[in-house]
Amino acid sequence: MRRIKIKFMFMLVFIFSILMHVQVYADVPYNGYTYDAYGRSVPTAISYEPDKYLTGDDIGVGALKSPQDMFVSDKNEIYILDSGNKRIVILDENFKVKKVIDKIVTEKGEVTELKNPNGIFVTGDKVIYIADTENARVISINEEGKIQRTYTKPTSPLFPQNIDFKPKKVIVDKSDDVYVIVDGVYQGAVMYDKDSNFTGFYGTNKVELDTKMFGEYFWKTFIMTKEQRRSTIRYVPTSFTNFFMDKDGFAYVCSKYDTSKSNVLKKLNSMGDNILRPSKKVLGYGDLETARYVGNEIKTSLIDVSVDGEGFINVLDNTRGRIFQYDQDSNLIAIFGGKSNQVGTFNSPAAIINLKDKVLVLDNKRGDITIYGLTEFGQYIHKAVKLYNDGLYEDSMEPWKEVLKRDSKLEIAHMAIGKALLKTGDYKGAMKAFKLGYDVKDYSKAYGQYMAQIVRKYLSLIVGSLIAIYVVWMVIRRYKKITNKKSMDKENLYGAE
Amino acid sequence: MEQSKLMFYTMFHPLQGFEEIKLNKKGSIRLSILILAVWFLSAILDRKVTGFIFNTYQIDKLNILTLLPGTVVIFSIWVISNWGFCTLLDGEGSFKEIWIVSAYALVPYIIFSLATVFLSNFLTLEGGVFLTWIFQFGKYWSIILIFLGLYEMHQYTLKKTLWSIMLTILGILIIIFLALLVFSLYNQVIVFFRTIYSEIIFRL
Repeated sequence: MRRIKIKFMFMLVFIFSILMHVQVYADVPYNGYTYDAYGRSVPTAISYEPDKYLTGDDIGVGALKSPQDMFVSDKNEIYILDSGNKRIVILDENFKVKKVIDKIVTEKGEVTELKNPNGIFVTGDKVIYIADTENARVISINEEGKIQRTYTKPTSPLFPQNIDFKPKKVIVDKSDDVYVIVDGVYQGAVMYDKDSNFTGFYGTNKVELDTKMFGEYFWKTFIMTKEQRRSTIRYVPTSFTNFFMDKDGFAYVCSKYDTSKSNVLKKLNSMGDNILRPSKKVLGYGDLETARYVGNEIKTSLIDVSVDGEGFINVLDNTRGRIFQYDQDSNLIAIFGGKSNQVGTFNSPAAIINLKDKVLVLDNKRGDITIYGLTEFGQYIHKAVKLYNDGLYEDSMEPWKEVLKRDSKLEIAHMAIGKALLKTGDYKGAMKAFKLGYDVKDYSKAYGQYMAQIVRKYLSLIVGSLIAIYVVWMVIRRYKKITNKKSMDKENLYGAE
Repeated sequence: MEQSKLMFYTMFHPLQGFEEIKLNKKGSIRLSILILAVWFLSAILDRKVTGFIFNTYQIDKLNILTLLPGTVVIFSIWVISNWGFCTLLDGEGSFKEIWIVSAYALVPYIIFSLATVFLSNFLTLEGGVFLTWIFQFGKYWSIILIFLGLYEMHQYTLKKTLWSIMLTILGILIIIFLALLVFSLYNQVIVFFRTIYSEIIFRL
């Protein structure tokens, strides 16, 4: 009887422990983690959690059918490209329907249909650009659905004529130049001027030579037969998967996993040069650790990028359904999302966009939008990063300390605190913080300052003692000389005697 | 004591020092093993004690057994390979002599790499160039010593010594290749028997 009682007690404890475990993690269906300086994943607190989850029925426009892209205009209106239903749904910032464009009319007044469109962009004066993929065109329409301009396959010999023209994504800059990502075009984004003339390519990804490629080149040229060579993969630059234009007119482009992991995300200026300047050496974007599954390496493949008003860069990884957030110095800020069927994870994520500090992710298989908001931890990080990136290192101390209360190992927090201490002249404290933040360059700087400080502090002492020794030595020598002379005089004296 | 004096003497007067080892049998196996132990220790220190600025390894993760192949094992293979080739090429050095000479020649390398580790704790990133210089200096010193040592032991001409060293490096590659081959073959044999075992267990 007693034994049964004990057993029962144990069982109760066991069940309770399971229940409590579930309670702790039930609100978010993913684990918070980040990558340390060595590229190893380490657990951290969760900085984004799903606030809301919207289907087409929730919005009130009927189910969305494989929606492919989203856009948030500068007036915070959300444009959803509902590809399967051949329409565009426009919501206001509270997710209420503002307008649905389901009829598109050409300049001549004929009705035309979208066919599997993949990209949408809206300019400041509400001109909507759509990459109408299967129709091989990019169109710009006004809010009534009337086509303003059509951009088609360039006839220029510069453009590869042997491929089907399949525009995937489109962005437009301030001077109404249109940039289009076309499937199979690896020269870069196709560029049109505002009169829909082809003007060239933008932001080419370069093939970077590495030892593996060199070895394969050797193998191909000297060992393989012509037939074998023909069937091997050619090294061409990876084409962009998506891009985004921020409010300052810089284009952020992402590409699928490449040989060089740090090149999958770029910030391009108008010349097409990468101006993303990481503060530390960047090991890569997206998941740094890869898994193997049935002999295949499961790698990150970035399919969308979005930058919010504060400059936080969000990229969406299609492989694992995760969102990675970076600041302008390429420091990893947050990782969230995942693949499953719970709220906060995705089946097949397609597009990501920012609405103020919220992150919206579109799932094209489920046809829904997940809206993420910052947790307390995330809010502190954002506040701190903002102050830090503005150069207000001392002001950022307070929020960073709050962040460290919640994750005492977060490297970026230690790094930032180190910078603040360095500025205030606490070199020893800065060194300690930089060590915890694995910031070698700044540690070296702080150490140099610290050494200089020590030398300065003791310089007078050292120089003073040196002078003192010299003086004493001189005095002794003088004295000896005198005594010597005296003794010599004495000797002489005796000698003379 | 006297032997360690010879070791340091050899660093600066290699030809006389090695001649002493060759003709008067003054080299000590015990000392050479001590040198190897210190080398292994310096490899560990390199990982663990190098200053934060210059340490590129994961300090919190170190399995010292992984440092063995890079130090003691490669040394043994070097000696075996050199002995193997030079016996065929009329070299006069015995296995013991090659071992001792190679170990003695390592002394500058070990000293200078330890100095690098020590100094790395006091230099900033800008001073890193000096560390590289110091380290390289020790390395080339040791290479010259090994060369002269083998030259002296085998009583070769300079040209033949060079050839024998190249062959030795080739031999090292062959030995490593064979070792890997044997390892993977044995691995497969083990896997084979394990599969049979589990197969039988499941049938019974």
